[in-house]
Amino acid sequence: MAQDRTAIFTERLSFHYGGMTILKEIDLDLPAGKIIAITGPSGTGKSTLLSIFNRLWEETGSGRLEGRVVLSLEGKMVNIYQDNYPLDRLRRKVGMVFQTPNPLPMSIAKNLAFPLRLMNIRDKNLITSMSEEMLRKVHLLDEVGDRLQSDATQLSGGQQQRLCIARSLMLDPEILLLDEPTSSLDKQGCLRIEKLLKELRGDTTIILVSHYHDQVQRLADICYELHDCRLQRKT
Amino acid sequence: MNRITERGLVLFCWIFGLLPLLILSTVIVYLLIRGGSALGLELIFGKVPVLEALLGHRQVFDGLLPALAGTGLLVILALLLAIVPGICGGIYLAEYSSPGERRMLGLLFDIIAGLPSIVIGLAGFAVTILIHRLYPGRFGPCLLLSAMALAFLIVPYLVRSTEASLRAIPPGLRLTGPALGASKLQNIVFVLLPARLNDLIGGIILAIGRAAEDTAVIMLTGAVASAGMVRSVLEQYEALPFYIYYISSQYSDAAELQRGFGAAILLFTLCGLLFLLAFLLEQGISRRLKR
Repeated sequence: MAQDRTAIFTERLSFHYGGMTILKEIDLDLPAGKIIAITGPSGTGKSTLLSIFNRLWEETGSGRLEGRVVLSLEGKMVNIYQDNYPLDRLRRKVGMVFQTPNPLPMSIAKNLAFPLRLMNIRDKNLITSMSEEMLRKVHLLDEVGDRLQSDATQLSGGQQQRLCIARSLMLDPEILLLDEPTSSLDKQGCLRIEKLLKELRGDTTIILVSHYHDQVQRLADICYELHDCRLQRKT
Repeated sequence: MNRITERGLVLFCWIFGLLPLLILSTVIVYLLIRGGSALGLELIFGKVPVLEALLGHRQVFDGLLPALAGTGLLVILALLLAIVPGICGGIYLAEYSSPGERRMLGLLFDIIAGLPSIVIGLAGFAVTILIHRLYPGRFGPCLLLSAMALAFLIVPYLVRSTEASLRAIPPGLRLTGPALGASKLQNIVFVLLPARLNDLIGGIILAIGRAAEDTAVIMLTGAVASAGMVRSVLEQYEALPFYIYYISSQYSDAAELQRGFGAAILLFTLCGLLFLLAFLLEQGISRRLKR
């Protein structure tokens, strides 16, 4: 259990995009191993805040970031914008799951193997055992274990989202960023993801962006609200 | 918008959606009526036995085998020359270029795509003359030159279709690779291109059609009415579009014109087979990726 230590630390974090200030002087000290929820009205920059923690915003266009963002990775505090920490390694250690499930147009097995393939890991036995372990972790092994070679895009929305979480977990991330992961799912799919997140808590720091107050109440150890470019702690 | 206008609009769209199919069917039926009776082994192999012609033991002078082989080889060679630069150009425009570069290069490729093929043919012819002056007697109009000119003609189509298909990828899918630690190149190779394989093959199919039908380029760069079976890419060759053009403008009797229509059916069939090949290739790769 990685508790009572800092997972994410920001100091005077501001973000500007297209002449507009999206985030303004945010100071955060988020503990490891907790579920931290971020709520707030649509379009206030919650997803942008998440993408700052794995530098994914840099892929989508121009923006300007000010301040410090320090993450606890591999036992060290790393200023991810200054310490020359490799970007691919950062994104492996800080996993991300999007609002809409985005399995790659390939088989379930290949989806799971994909992150390892990027790292040139080709050991079939290792990939198979890890895939099974992750599928078990996300409660998907019983449902799809007998058809791992079938097209992942044919799974139900809830199954696709759990597969995407399993795919992120293949890299053993220390921090998991979840951008409204249940918004496109039915109630049953939603509850399954919630159960999974509770199980992951402790080993992984989870930053959850969610619109649903009841979900936040059920899951979050700490809750922040993003409003007028600033974060306010709620609980 | 009231209901009558809406229904009228739907009907209008439906008619114009159906129109290309109707035109295609009309062309096929017309070709079959005019050239159907010319179809047969004799149209392709003339009086030469099939096996001997295919094995190259005897030359076919009174059949369309040389033109058929010349066209097939020309299209394949032009595609081989155009596919890599076309797709790479599209990837550069979609993934690496700045907005300013994209606008400028995009405009350039649109201008090239809009060039009349006769202009490209003339440019190819000018290149031939230039090389011929530099190396007298060693280089002249030939299959390779035609393929290069055709490749120049189809590269802009491939660039623009590749660029459009990559830019249409939804942000969620585009970010999947990078979010898992993929580099830009890994994301393009392992995620973006496989996700848009359908569109890429669509672009290649269009390019096949463009390369197979063009007459203006090839008549100035190497195609002739009678050259026999093509043996080298550095020789002149026969091609179906040129044969059709030649016969339609200079036929001496009804039987010869009928052979021209027969040649059109052969060209149509050859294009269909190449389209089918591209489609099967896409299906095969897709199935392999999804397994």
